Amino acid sequence: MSRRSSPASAPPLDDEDLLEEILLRLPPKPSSLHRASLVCKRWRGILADRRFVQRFRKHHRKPPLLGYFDRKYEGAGFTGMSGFTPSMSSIPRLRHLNLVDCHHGVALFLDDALGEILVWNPIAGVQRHVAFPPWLNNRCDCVVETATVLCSASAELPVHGDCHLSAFTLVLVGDYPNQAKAFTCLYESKSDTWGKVITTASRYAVYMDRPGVLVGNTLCWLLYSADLLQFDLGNQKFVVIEKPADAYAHVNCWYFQPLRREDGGLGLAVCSKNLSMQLWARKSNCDDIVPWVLEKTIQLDDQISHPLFPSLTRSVGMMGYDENTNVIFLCFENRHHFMLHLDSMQFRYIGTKTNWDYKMCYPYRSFYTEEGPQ
Amino acid sequence: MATREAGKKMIMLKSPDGMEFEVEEAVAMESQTIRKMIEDDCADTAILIPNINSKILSRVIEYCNKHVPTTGATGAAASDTVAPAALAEDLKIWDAEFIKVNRATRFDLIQAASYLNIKGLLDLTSQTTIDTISDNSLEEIRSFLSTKNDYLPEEEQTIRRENQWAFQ
Repeated sequence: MSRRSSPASAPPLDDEDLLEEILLRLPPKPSSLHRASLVCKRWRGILADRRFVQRFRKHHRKPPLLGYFDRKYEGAGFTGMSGFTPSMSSIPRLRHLNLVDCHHGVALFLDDALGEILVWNPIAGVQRHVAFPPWLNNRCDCVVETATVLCSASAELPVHGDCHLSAFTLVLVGDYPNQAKAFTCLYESKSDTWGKVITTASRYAVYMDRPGVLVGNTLCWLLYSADLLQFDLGNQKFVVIEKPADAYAHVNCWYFQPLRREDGGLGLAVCSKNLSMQLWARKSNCDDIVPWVLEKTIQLDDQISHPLFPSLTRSVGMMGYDENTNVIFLCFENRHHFMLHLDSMQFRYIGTKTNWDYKMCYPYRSFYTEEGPQ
Repeated sequence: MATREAGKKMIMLKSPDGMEFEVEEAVAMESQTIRKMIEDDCADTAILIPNINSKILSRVIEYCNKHVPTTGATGAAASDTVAPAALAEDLKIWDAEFIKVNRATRFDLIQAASYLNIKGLLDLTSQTTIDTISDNSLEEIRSFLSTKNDYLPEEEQTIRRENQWAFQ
């Protein structure tokens, strides 16, 4: 809390507290604190102060989108959107790893050959290797499909990801193909232990090209059947949620994306092959029956007015999703990438890649502040 | 908070240059500093606001008047009848007009908002200041804020080198 001195006692901006108040409002993009540091030494002193950095993150709450990781045939790359690019070369065995998730400024890779998960905070430059739970060793009746990472927030570190991997949770998800069951298992970094395995009946495997979406206190993954697999982090309930009965037929799970809606509830976007998109909302009611409600249907080619968006466009792919802003990454004709903000229906062109190998992208959000907890 | 049906409680704010402003208590309590005085029963019939001149104080009251949560005739929050989004949009337009002031006035408003602890006004004034300068060059920022560059050229070069990407 600032000291509240009597006003007008010092010339404007000579008052350290007021200057700090103003500098807190610098845009959260990575370059802004570095640039402002060069104004004068006094500014640099404030901007480098640990307490200021924590206030800065808390003030902005939502970290900026720095770019996105994209999974390649071998390994992963990063497309920067803010000037910052993480050093992919710091990842050992990158070409053998499978990028599966980005949450809270942390990227997650599965290393099936070594039976471990690599957790990476590129801003802090911290990596952790976590071995799969021991009960998975030498089992050939179950398959690890994906995992999700969540960083704990606390009163001292109010922004997720600030812990610099001192307190994170891993949620491993997979299936027993011959038993029509899905499983999940939680790892807590603080105790360095895996919890008990939790299973639920599921005839279909988890579709690994859709990272888990955090909705309230639950994580949702997509199944190959396009139904959803939901795990409640609170009461540990692990269930399958059937897709809406009236969702577009004749499209497979490629055309489905679980959503965190503007109101914080669970949603689902479903694309058709003729470029229309259904937006479904999961509504709870007093009978405890939770039906899907079709909120709207949009015709994508009516919404985009961009010179690169040709009238002959026939195909659309869902490439990624940013639950923080309810933005879906779409790829038209396997080349042209757009971000679609589902709340405002605004499109933003982000680039064209000719050699795109049709893999997922994982939006990466983080503050770029060097200070970390000691 | 419930509204008193019969007459709203008024309090007097005094600026050091001798001007008095009679305002509704709810409006004055937009300032957390004044709220605390009232709740701690430290508020006499009139509250002296030190070092905020009448010109700035009247602007601050104007801001609080606009931003105090309004209540309808039935006591229900006005946002029940007016769409919250429309209300927010209206306030945004009003704020943008309100903050069209010269630099000295804006700095005075920042100081007043900080002392009186009015979060919305502090947000508005500080954000406007940052927005004004954030696209400018370092030299322009220094001159706008009358700040002197106290780096040696080699120190500046070192910082630039360490984070080259931020200056491209």
